[in-house]
Amino acid sequence: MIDFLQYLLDGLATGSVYALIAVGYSMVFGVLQLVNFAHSELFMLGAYLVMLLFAQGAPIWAAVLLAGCGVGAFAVLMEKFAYRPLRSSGRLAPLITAVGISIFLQNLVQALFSPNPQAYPFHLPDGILEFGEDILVRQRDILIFILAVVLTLGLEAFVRYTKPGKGIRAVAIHPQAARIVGVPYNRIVSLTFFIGAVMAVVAGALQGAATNQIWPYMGVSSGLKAFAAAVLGGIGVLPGALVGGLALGIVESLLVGYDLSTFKDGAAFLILILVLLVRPQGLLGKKVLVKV
Amino acid sequence: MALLEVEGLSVNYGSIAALQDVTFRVQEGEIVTFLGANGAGKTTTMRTLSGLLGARKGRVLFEGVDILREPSHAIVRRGLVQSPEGRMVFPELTVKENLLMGAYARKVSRAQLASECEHVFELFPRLKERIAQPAVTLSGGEQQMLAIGRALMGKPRLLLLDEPSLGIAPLLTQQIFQKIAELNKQGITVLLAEQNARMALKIAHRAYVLEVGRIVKEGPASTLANDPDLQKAYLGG
Repeated sequence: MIDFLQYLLDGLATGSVYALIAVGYSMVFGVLQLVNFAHSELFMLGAYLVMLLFAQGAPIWAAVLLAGCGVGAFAVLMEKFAYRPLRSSGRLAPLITAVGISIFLQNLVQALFSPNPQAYPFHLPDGILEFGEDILVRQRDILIFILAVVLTLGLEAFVRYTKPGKGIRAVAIHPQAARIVGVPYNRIVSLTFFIGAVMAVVAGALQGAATNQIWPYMGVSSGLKAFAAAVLGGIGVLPGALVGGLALGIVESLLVGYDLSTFKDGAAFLILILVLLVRPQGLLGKKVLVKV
Repeated sequence: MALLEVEGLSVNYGSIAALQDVTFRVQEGEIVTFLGANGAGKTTTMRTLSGLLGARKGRVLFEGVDILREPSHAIVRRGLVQSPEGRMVFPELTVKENLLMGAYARKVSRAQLASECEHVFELFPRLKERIAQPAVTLSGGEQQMLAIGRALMGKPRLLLLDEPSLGIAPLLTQQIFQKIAELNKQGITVLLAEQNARMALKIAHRAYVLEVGRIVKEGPASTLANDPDLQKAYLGG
């Protein structure tokens, strides 16, 4: 039992990073029904940019803020020039474009920084807290967890209670109707990409700090798993991204704990398949009501 | 100067011409109706006016300004607001939330919005009874009222109503048309697209008849109601 609790806690930090990436997948899917596979690379870009800025002497909060704006702006341009022209050409074309952007960004970073992992210059406090007799938790895990929860729930509040947030929600529910009531559709889509990118940058910095290394392909595994987490929680539902991410992190941690680490990286996709078979709307998603 | 002047509007779907050289005008204070069968181009006209479809050529002057290339939210802000075909309410939002979304493009105080909601409820008391219900649980007629109410929350100078009778019981349709006439008396100019020609001609001042993307007839509603061709085609003899 103690072991189980310990593994569970160990999974929270990884799960939190998945959750922060999943938020972006989920929001973009919510407004455009587009799986933006390049989102994984925004996470990777974020990790590198924060590293660069931090190495230049920027305090960490400023590095994350600047990198967030930079990668956010990149995401907005990516949508405008790569996805927007393809809006009326079905689902396949933007999907292939997304994969293309992914590969381009991986290669770009590889060319600029070498394919080898880089040590991360920034670290989170790594003291260890003891709970009861045998449960140990790293301070940084708690920090990452709290950050993920605050950011996701804060974003949910933003979507529910602010005007731009309501615009995002309206576009997600019914894009045509949103335009008819005067929601500035393209601006809302841009905002969604920007927010998703900022979250991915935070996730990238946290991942770098927690695992102490980053590499050009870090988005491939973490990003795809985060996508699975978004589907697990219910794509388009923000708290779903949090729940899905944490659940996936915990499952992976349990697998490692019980000597099944061989299956760790496959678990996300097994879960993805099971969710799609059994509960395609995800844990927190609602069945779509259709009334004729 | 007319409130709305449309000149030589042509719209294509791919290579198919949906509207060809459509010219019409709506004067301040009028109810103008577009009549025509399914596929005649009524909804295409409405969607183009609202900035949801691009046009191949033509001009759309609203209060003298060409709005044809403006994005939909800018057009709503000018006071050209639509209640679309198929109603398009936000299914999982409540009646109240739907109404408030209607005022998205405007900057007004919460108190002002609350009083405008009340105004909509006076017009459609049924909506008040359902105020906290998700729109998806409403009947077709109630959803139509909600769609019109939502458009009113955008403070229209010109209200576009696309097929308000579609899929609604006749008795309710009659009620809704009465309300439209009432709104017009309160000073809202209305452009109405409607398959139910008899009903539309009762409340309209003028009408245009569309056939396969062209205007084939126009005139005062009373004249068109007695037009023999029109009677044969749209009014059941």
